[in-house]
Formats: sequence, structure tokens, C-alpha cells
Amino acid sequence: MGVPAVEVTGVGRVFGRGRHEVVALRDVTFEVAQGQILGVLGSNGAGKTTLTKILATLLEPTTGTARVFGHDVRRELRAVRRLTGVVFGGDRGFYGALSGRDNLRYFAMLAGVGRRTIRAKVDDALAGVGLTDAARRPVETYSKGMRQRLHIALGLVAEPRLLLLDEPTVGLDPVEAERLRTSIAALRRTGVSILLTSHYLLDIERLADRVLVIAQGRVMVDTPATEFARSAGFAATVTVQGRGPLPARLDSYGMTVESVEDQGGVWTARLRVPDWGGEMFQQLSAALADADVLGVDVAPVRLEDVYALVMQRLAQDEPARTAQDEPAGAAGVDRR
Amino acid sequence: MTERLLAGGWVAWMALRAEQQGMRTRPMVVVVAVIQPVALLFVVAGTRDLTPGEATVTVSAVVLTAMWSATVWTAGGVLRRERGYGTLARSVTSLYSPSLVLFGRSLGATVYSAVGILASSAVVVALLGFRFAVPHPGWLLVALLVVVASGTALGMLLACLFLVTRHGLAWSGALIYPVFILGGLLIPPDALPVWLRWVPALLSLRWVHEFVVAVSGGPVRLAPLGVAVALTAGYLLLAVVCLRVAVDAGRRKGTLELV
Ligand SMILES: Nc1ncnc2c1ncn2[C@@H]1O[C@H](COP(=O)(O)OP(=O)(O)OP(=O)(O)O)[C@@H](O)[C@H]1O
Ligand SMILES: [Mg+2]
Repeated sequence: MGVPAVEVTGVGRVFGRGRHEVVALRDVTFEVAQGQILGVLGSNGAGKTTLTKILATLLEPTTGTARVFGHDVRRELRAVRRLTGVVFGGDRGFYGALSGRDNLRYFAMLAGVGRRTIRAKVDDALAGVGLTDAARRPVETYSKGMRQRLHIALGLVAEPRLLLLDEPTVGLDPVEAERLRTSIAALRRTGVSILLTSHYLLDIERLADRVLVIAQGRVMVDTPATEFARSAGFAATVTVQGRGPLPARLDSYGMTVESVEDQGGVWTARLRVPDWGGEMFQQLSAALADADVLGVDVAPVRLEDVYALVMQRLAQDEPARTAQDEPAGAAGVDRR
Repeated sequence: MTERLLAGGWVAWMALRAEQQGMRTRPMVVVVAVIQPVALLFVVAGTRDLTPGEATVTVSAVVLTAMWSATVWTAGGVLRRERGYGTLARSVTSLYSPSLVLFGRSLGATVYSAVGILASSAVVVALLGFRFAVPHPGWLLVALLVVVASGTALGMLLACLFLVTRHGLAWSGALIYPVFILGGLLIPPDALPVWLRWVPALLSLRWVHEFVVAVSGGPVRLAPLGVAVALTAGYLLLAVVCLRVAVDAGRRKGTLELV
């Protein structure tokens, strides 16, 4: 596979000083193999954008080293920039009075697209995000989603080998978001490596090969996406509605009862099942054989549930872990 | 080598074009490139009968004063505006030198304002019926080129300073009028108190003015033009150093872009 697309070792980043000091990243270590998509999750302020900026050479790490295809982001800026495309979403980042095409042409030039190919590449990039018809209009007349599409076109126009996507689907309509996911998946097939942060777990679920969870600047989880989905400990939630007496054996065969509600003689039981296959189905049927069942609904576990569970666990573990591996002074700085 | 030079020229040209496209929509340009020179010309010369020599000197003083305003408000605001648009980080962390990009933008702004100032001044001069003494048109053209180069370099320097201080707008306003008075253009430097005479000496435009005054009334004296060129080179050097320091500091402190 050669050198990793991204290699981050012991990276820390501190903003401000004294009373205003914020530790945005601490001792972050991970890799993105070539051709892989790494999904980065974490709550607001966890440090995802800071990490993206460091890899895009917009920000220096305070400690540690980060490499892009072997090039140090601190010392080999041009080499890193040549290989990297970056999408920071948002309403800003363009010259409002200039047309979408003029903006894109200018920034494509800055990103290293040569003057002989720039016209064709800019037109392709605009077509790729469905902005051809609006290309001549000033960007200040664009809607939020149109600006986001222009950001995406800009990140792709120089054909980078590493793509840094910071919440790329924010503001996109569902059709366009799906189209972006499809084109990200297609990019990976051409060998592009991608670091993707998103609060939409569907993006991560559909695309990521690996999942990194950051909380308060620290890497908490770094696993293959399939493992991450399994780390919830159950595969699906089964909701059963029935009348009369509640079946007794609902918590056998590895099923766990999450909740039972009773409303006017109709009960609703929510069960978590470790897997959802033929055997499980038969066992559930056996358990429900004597009951007066009104309906059964099966929902496979969603990444959203897994993420919520992981965050919950982290919150519970947090005080104990902090006390162990940090001097009290340092820990006090960013938590309060 | 030629390929690199071509690429560099192309980058500067694209930056120049982008700046000029943006300027079309900014009302400040009309103020500094049209209203200001016209008003100054009427105030300074409108009611007087000027000899052809005086006319040249007056128009030169007005055009150069307007150039100063234009430099502060247009080229000097380039990086401050980039921060406003949220494009600063992309502009100064591209594959090309940030100085090259800034040079293109500053040149674009300076040429745009210079054309505006010259055109509107020409209209007023025609209306007022000035008669000119232009004994050395070739040298006047050289002086104009020095003015554009100087405005570009000074614009780059101011753009960096306004970026570093973070209160660029306030500084722009604060700098304009002292230079009107102390710049040695509208008010001759020897009318200033002795302890303030060093101020105009640092302003390249004042030396260009001295050159124009000399040319309009007699033989060509190159010394003042030489000083203007040297000062321009100084501005440029300072600007390049300042920009490098500012960008490095921005990457260290995380102030390049507030996404
Ligand atoms: N330039 C800066 N100066 C000071 N503090 C900063 C700066 N940039 C980020 N921070 C702080 O660093 C921490 C991490 O911010 P970051 O933007 O990386 O979070 P994030 O994970 O991207 O959050 P979100 O999901 O809201 O986008 C936050 O506490 C933030 O306030
Ligand atoms: Mg963020």
C-alpha cells in the first residue's frame, strides 16, 4: 500500500493563553491508509475542524507530527498542498460579487490547476455539482446549498489525492446529499483517500471504512466501521405489541428487554437482539407463541444509536480516566 | 524557468483581474477615484487663473493626493476584505507565494483607481479650460509608471499592516488626513514645522511630485524620481517580509481564518 495517506502522531493543539487557553487536540494519533475513507465523529467543539485545518496546513500543530503521503505538514507545505483538497462548508469563503465560475476559476488557479486545462476542469467541476446553469450568477445570490456545492467543486477541481471534507453535506438537499455521497464513493474507487467529518451519521455509515471518535480533543475510538457498528452490542431493535398477559421468556436467547409500556391493556415491548437471522426469528416466534400479538416491527441498529451509546459510555468513564492519566492542573484547564 | 515565470505572471494576472472585478461593485472606488479628485481640483484651482506651469503642478498634486486615498482604501484593504469574505486562508496558503497573489491584487486595485483618477481629472481640467506646460511627456509617463508601482507596493504594505492590527478600517480612516496635511503634496513640506518634515520624506508620491514640478518648469532632475523608486523598493521589501511574518503567525496562532 505504500506510505499512508495521512499519518498523525501525538498531535496536540492549544489555542490562546492563560485564562483563555483551550486545548483543542491532545496526543492524537491515527492513520488513513491510501484509498481509505476515515469518518471522524465527535460533538461540537471536539476538535474535528482543528484536525482538518492542521492537515490542510492552515494551522500548525502545537506538538506532534502530521504527514500527508509522507510529507510533513509543518515543513513541506507546498508538497502537502499539491496533494490535498479541502472542503470547509459554510456561507463564506467566496467573493460575493464575482460569479460562481469566476470564483472557482480563481481558486482553482491557486490550488494548482494549470492555465491550459483550467477552463475544462472548472466547467467539469461545476457540472459535477449541478451548478452549470447558475455559474454566471454572482455568488452572493446563491442559496446556502448552492454555496456548499461550490465549496465541494472547489475541493475537487484540482483532483487531489487526499480529500479533507469538513461536514460536506451541511445544507444540501437530500437528493444532492445523496449525489455527493455517491460521488465520494466513486472517488474512493479511483484511489482518492478521504477524511470525512460529519454530524450526519448516514454519511459515515454509507462511506467510512474506519471510524474515529474524538471527544474533548482526544481519540476515544478508532476502529473499522463494521466493528464500530457492532460495538453497540446488539444488531436490531424489535418492537412487539400485544394484548393480554406479557410473554414470560422475552429476555431469553440473548434478547434483552429495553422497555415495556402498557396502555389500556395493550403492551409494547422493545427488545434488543444480538443478531437478526433465521434462528433469532424462530426463537422470537417461540417466545411469542402463546401471546396475543398485534404487531412486530424490526429496526436494524443505526449508527446514530451506536454513536449515542458510545458517547454515553464515554461520559460515564470520563471522570475516572481523566484523574488517572493527567496531572490535575492540566485537566482543570479545559474542562471548566 | 520560462514556464515558472509564465505561471507566476498568470497568477498575478488572475489576481489582478479578480480584484478589478470586485472593485466594480464597491462604492468606495467612486469616492476615491472620482469624487475626491474632482472636488480637490475645484477647491484648489477652480476659481484661480493658473499659468500653464502652475496648472501642471496643481493637477499633479491633486492626482497624487487622490492616489494616496485610493491606495489606502482600495489596495490597502485587499487582505482586510479577504478576511471579511472568509477567503484569506485560501489566498495566503495556496501553492503560490502569498506575496505574488497580493502583488497581483494590489496592482489591479492601483491601476483601476489610477485610470479612474486620471480620467475624472482630465474631464475637470477640460471643463475648467486649463492650459498645460508639458515639456517632457516621456518623463511624465515614466513618473506615472513610478506612481503605479509605488501605489502597488505601498498598498501591499498597508494591506499587511491593516491585517496585523485587526483594526484596519479604523487605521485607514486615521491615516488619510494626516497624510493630506503632512504628505507634502497639497501643502509644501517647507511650510511644515521642522520636526515634522521627515514625514513627507518617507512618502514616495511626494518625491514624484517634486520631479513633476521640476520637469514642468525646467530641466529634468532625476534625483527625486530615484528616491521615489528606492522608497518603492523599500515598501515592497517590507511588505513581503510583513506578509510572511503575518501568515506564519496566523498559522501558529490560528487567526488566519475564523471558519
Ligand atoms: N482559532 C481559534 N482560537 C481559539 N479557539 C479555537 C480556535 N479554533 C477552534 N478553537 C477551539 O478549539 C475547540 C475545537 O474546535 P473545532 O472547531 O475543532 O471543533 P469541531 O469538532 O469542529 O466542532 P463542530 O462540530 O462544532 O464544528 C473548540 O473549543 C474551539 O472553541
Ligand atoms: Mg467543525
